[in-house]
Amino acid sequence: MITEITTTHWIVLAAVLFGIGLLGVLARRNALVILLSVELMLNAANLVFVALGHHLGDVQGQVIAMVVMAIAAAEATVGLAVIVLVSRTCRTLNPDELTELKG
Amino acid sequence: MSYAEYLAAIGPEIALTIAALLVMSIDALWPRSVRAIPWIGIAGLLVTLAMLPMFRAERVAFSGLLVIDPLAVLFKVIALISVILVALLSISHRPLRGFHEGEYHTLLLFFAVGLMFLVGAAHLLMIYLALEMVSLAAYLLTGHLKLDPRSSEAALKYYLFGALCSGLFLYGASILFGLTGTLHLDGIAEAVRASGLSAALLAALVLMLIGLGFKIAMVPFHLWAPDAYEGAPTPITALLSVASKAGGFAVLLRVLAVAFPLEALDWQPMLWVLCVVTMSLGNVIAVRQGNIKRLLAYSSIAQAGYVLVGVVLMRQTPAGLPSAMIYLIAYLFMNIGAFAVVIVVSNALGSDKIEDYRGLARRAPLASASLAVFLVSLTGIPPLAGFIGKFYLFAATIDAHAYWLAVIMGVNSVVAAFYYFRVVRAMYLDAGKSEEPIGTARPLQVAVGVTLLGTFVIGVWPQPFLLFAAALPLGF
Repeated sequence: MITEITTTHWIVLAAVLFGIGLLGVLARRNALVILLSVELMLNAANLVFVALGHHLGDVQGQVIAMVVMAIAAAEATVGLAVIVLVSRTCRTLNPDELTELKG
Repeated sequence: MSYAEYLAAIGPEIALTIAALLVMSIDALWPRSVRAIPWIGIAGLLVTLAMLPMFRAERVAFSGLLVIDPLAVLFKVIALISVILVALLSISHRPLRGFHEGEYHTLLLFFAVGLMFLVGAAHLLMIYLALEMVSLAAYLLTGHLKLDPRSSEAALKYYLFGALCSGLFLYGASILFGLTGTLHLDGIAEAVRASGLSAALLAALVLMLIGLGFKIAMVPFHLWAPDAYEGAPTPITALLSVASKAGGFAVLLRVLAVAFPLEALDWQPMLWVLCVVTMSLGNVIAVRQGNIKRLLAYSSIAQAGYVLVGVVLMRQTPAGLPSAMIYLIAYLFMNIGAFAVVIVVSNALGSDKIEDYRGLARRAPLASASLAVFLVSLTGIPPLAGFIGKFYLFAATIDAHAYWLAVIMGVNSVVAAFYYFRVVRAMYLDAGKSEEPIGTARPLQVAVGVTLLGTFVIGVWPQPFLLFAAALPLGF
């Protein structure tokens, strides 16, 4: 019976979240879902930073998480722009079906 | 240190940011002045380059987020020269002419700003921030030719791979934060020395190596490179293969040398394997390529492998780091030069296929001779820059008694000679379909001239570069 949520719980939760994200990137074949999975991985790292910052009594953890959120937003913006572009010019969002470039 | 002093430490970066904002505003306010925009950007880059010697005093700024040290300054010079050359190439690249040039050059300048912060970053959060700034600009520049499906496809593949790798890097950083309680590289080193090797530390190192390996297109994290290089506008291909790679190397050097002391965690065997695989795979696959951009993409993967030789050996011999730096400088000139000639040809023929290079020597004698010089230099034949670079790398391997590495590098050079000379043969020995002469635009002439000069000067008179590189402190 778990009576208290400790830092370890958060770390394990983050690891699971990271694993789900990584699996999504590797297994799913839609650019949008891959983008979502990457966001999941970034949030896993954020969770680790916040939990550890709390554990160590170090405000740095929270600060880092805020900065990472801002960067992730910028990254998602660029990613969505690229995805819109590709869906217009190539009519597909499956990276495996994009085969103009081959050597 | 006061805030004003912090700002003084990043003077060149501030100047370049202002130049970028200026270009962006001019593009928005006076659309008619579009022809002047690239030149304003280049002027901004030149001013920044001229400011660097005044801002080279060693210091630590922003409570340890950034350092200004000889290594950072040298990398800033490399970054700025390569971005200036790329801006020159962009002016005359036919598909880019008149196509949202303001946005293009703004992104190029912000790319340079990101790169300047990246090479001086001494804190994992700062590294992540700068890495993303460089990457985001690079994704957009890769997909700039939005009417061309190949450009969009390249951008998507580059983006998805890059986003994954930056996620892995960040998770690695979060593990390190848990282990050491800090993200300052020197703080990490102290904590790592005290705690010693653990599985979590190894995992953090591997995750961060993936994130940085992506930037320098190290095998097996190179999968994006051939597609992105082929689909991107050719000046951006040159940018990705030189500037972006140099930035990745700067961080890799700093992270490995500062944050992971060898006595706690021996990363040399792991990097040795990655280095050997990178140069061998790059060279072997390059042999089969029929598109010159793709050939140069695989060749640049292999070239990164050579630079990695110096990185692997940097703790074993004092010659390791300088030899990697010399090679990187030589690579800057010869690789951008090769891409400049590729642009000359694609402007005239609209093709990047090697079979279309047949008989080029008759149609464009100077451009062909220049491309031959760059390719011969990339092979590593005296008296050119590539030879000096390879020579010092070999000297470093002998000095460190890493004879196997020397042998593998030698075999690789022979394989590389095979495909570089295939292009030279097509230009000089094969008969072409047409005899019509090909002209070269003025900015391209300047770019080819500068890169030729660099290739020859480093090859014939390398002493100043050697002295400068040898003065780099190993512990930085």
